[in-house]
Amino acid sequence: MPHHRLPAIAARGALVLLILAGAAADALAQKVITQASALNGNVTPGDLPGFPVTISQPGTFVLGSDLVLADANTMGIEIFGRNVTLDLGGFSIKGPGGVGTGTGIRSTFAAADVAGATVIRNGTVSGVGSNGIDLDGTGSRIDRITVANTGGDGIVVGPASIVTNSRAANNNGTGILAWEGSLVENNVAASNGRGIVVDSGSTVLSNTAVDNRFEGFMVHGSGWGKNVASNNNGGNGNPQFVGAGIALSGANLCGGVICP
Amino acid sequence: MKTSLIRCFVAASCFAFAAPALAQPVNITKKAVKVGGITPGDTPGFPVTITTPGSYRLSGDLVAPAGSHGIVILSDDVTIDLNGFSISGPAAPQASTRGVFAAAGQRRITVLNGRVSNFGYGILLTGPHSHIQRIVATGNVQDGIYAGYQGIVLDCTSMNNGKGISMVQGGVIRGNTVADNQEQGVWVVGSSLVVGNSVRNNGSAGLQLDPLSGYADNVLTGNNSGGAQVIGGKQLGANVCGAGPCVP
Repeated sequence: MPHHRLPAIAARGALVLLILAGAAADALAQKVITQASALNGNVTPGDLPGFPVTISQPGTFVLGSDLVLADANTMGIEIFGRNVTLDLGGFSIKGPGGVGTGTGIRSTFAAADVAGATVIRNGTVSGVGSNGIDLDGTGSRIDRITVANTGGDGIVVGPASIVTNSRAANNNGTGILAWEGSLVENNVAASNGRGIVVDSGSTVLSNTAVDNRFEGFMVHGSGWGKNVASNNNGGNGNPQFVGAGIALSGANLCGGVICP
Repeated sequence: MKTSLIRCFVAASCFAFAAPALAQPVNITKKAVKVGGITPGDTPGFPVTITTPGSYRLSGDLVAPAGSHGIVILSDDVTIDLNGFSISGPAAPQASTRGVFAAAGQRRITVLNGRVSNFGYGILLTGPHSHIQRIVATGNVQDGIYAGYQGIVLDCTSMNNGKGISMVQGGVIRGNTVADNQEQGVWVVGSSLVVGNSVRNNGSAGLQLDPLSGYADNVLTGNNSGGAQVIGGKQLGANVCGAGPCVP
């Protein structure tokens, strides 16, 4: 091999490895949480071995495996930092079923109305003892999440939050509960206690609520439209919604009948 | 120059090898399909059989032989990201085959981001709480996309199949393009919502819905040989049928 080609070969090799290094850096920037790393601890500073995984820093975290909780009193992930994005990566956080104190994912802030801006997306929480996802603070975002078979509520978010393209099913409490000024759009709530409950100033669009034990929708001083409720509250002969909803563009359908 | 390149080489090597081994979604490659063992009980060749929950991702196109399903799911809580790739069957598909299949007992199945062509059913998820998003289903002789009860079908294209999109009870079908299917464009049984879809040139009605389902913001043209664009359902907002608003 001619000597004059060696620098070029070395440069190409270095370039390839720099690209690999860049990929590795991306992976590091997006911290991966697995069952093993949860048990080892130190996902973020102060995270003790075992559950819950505690996230105390802002950033993007992604599951690299299912997280399996041993009992209904064990929490999966607790978020203390603002501006945390948790991508479940198509994986699940699973409890064994039953009622207990363990929440699947919880964000906790010391004061009310903290702009938590927590984002949870792309996966499933099932069988935990308490609420599936319970996000304190304002400005949370839930997208493409399934919460099922929990001992408490399915999805609970603070004020000014957005819940889209998700489903809450077979939860012991309310399927989706959003505090004031939130947007709840394009979700399914089925076979929960109540289906979808929102506080004042919220918008509820294009959701279905079916087979819930109580009303499909509880809408307090909020706008709603293009929602479908059926077979809630013991059957279509009983009220399918409760509250003072204000009709937005598009009607709602309650047991096959247009409702306000 | 040479020295600095060598330093760079060494530093990059150290950094690359310092990266931790990270669990990720399981890659479904052509080689893995050929060898089998993607999950316990998965035999060599097609169909790929997924028996354990988790997240799976295609890393290339898959072509199933005549008479075979593409992927069969035998577990709850499975996400399959087609990752922009396709699963396809033969040019003359058999009605008994499925591109991606989960039976009624399997819950919470998600299929995303790719193309499924030339099977009996393109995607057939008969259990509850499925999520199908950004899928292109074409050339399937029965339904392009079938979601069991309380599913969500979002941002998909279903063309040149038997039916376009079918759903059973309590789900949401939103933001899809459904065209040139031989039968109904969208077919729903039981308390679902059909909103914001473009539905054209299907052989039967664009939307065929049960009385407990609602529809809004859909645009329907050229379906049912110019006959009724919508059969059943309740209109919850404006829809376009042909050149004007749909008449309830």
